[in-house]
Amino acid sequence: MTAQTESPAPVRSLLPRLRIWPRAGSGNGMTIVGMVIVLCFAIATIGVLIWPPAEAYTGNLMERWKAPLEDGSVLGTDQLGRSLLWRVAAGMPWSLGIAFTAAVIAMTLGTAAGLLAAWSPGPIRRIVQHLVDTVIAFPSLVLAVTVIALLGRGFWPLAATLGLATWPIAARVVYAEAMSISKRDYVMAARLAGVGSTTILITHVLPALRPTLLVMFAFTFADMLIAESALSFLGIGVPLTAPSWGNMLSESREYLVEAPQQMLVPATAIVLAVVAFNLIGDGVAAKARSRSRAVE
Amino acid sequence: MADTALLQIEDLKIGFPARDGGEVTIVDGVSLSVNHGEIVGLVGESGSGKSMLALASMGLVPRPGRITAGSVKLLGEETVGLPDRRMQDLRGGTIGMVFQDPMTGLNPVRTIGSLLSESVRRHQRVSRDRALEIAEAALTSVGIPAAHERLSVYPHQLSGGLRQRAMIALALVNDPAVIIADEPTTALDTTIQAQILDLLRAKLVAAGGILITHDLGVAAEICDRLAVIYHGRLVETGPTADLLAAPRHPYTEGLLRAIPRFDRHRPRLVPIPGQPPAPSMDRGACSFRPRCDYAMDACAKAPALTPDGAGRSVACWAPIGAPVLERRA
Repeated sequence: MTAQTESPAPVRSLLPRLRIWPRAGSGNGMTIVGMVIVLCFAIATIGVLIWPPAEAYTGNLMERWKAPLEDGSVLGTDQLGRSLLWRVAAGMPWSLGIAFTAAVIAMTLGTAAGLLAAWSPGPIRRIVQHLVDTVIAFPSLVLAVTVIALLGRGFWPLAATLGLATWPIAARVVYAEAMSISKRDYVMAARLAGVGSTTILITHVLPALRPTLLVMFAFTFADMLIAESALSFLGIGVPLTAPSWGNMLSESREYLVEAPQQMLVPATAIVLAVVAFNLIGDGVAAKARSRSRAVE
Repeated sequence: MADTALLQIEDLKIGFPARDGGEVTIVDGVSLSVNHGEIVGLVGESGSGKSMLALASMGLVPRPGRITAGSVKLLGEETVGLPDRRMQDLRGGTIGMVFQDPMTGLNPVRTIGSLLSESVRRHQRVSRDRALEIAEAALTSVGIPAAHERLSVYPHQLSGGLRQRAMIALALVNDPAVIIADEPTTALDTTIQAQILDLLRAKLVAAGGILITHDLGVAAEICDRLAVIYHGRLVETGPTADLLAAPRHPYTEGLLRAIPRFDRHRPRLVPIPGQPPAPSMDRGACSFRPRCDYAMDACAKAPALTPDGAGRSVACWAPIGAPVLERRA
């Protein structure tokens, strides 16, 4: 080589960095729309956590059932004259928070169980599989009613119930995917290099699972949001005074004719969040597909 | 040969459970040794058990298969029945294997440097930076230009030839005493094949190695000794030049006749009639009997691999060129 000293790049930087989110600009337009919506929701959630809006809880009966944009109210008011805008915002930590926590619980348990099943000898694999089948077969509504009856309404009981009812679905997907990855040549090549199986699991199988996990997280989050609303609507979700979107829907039921905005506002919020997460999930899935095609 | 071979396989049998509850023998009583600086070619058709033999040497017979009998000694240490942990130390450290397909053998989401340094750090107690230096040296030694920059490159950014070189570097990064190369050139263009073979010859001679191939041309080019495997058994072994010049087993002869050659005129290629035997086929008779031009009554019993005292062995009742009068009976 030449005598000139080309300063070599610092070696450590050559090691792979953990990239959790796909690189910016990698998605199509709709994915970006989804990401923007989710980002807005996230910022708003943090905002109401820091500055809880009193307007969401105190209302003036004289100002009840205002239509959107009537007399300075943005989205209208409910039967107690509380601002629907503030209520739907104050519901974010409940609805989105529970959905997020439940999705994290489901994905963590599901990934752990799926990898355990894929990586273990026959007996343990069968135990996990039977456990998964049992939990899936168990009616989750009954589970939810039982947990709420035992622990009372609240953020954590609901998040835990939803997570515990959903993890087997994640476990099945992760198991199937991990099985197919474990048969790939590069896993064999790592074995041939003497790499231990736990290390292979973490350094070869888990990274290959990343797109699957991301997509599944987005869809699970959307499912959890709907499930939270449904349970709250039925009155077995969050405390009745909490302005969760499901509770708001539940309250609006009686005034559907007089004040349809009372139903439409939380419903729109739910639809918006669910669509946003589905857009992201679709985008990541499409990206992962095109990338794996490019690699092969 | 030498007292302790680098790799000594003795009377190895590998079986898989059969559907009827019995066991199908995939490799049946193979003995093979590799000495220092020696390249042994293992030649056979698809399904003949050559790759299984290689995996057995690495202690990685895929489940539910298992080694049912025999021994594999690596530098004198018995590896059959060795605990997993110890075998992992040997694998990639003392014995390295170059994998068949460079297109799928490298993890697409890992950089070359991270794959190599993973193996280095598994076998040597060195820092991350030192491991990457060793990885870079390994890449340079297999003829990859700009090795330092290539450490941070993903496999898909390399050409097929470079990928195979990277795979070889991965197998060699810890300077193993024995190297097994399983069809290392099958997936490559002919021009790249020649380069990779040159590289492999240099690397295998420096240690000791087995080259697995179904291509006798490749085997002829770099192997010192050849072992021909058929239906999980060795049918002929011997020094490469002798064996190819005067094959003694009808199967070896058949393989040679089926190779196109340009250096002498041959009217047409002669294929071996029939099909390779299924692994489950009965082993009582000579496995090659149904396809053999010279089959005779004695072939109803399987012949043993018999040494001739001059470094060659053949498993045939009537080896070609042997003074047996009734051979074409």
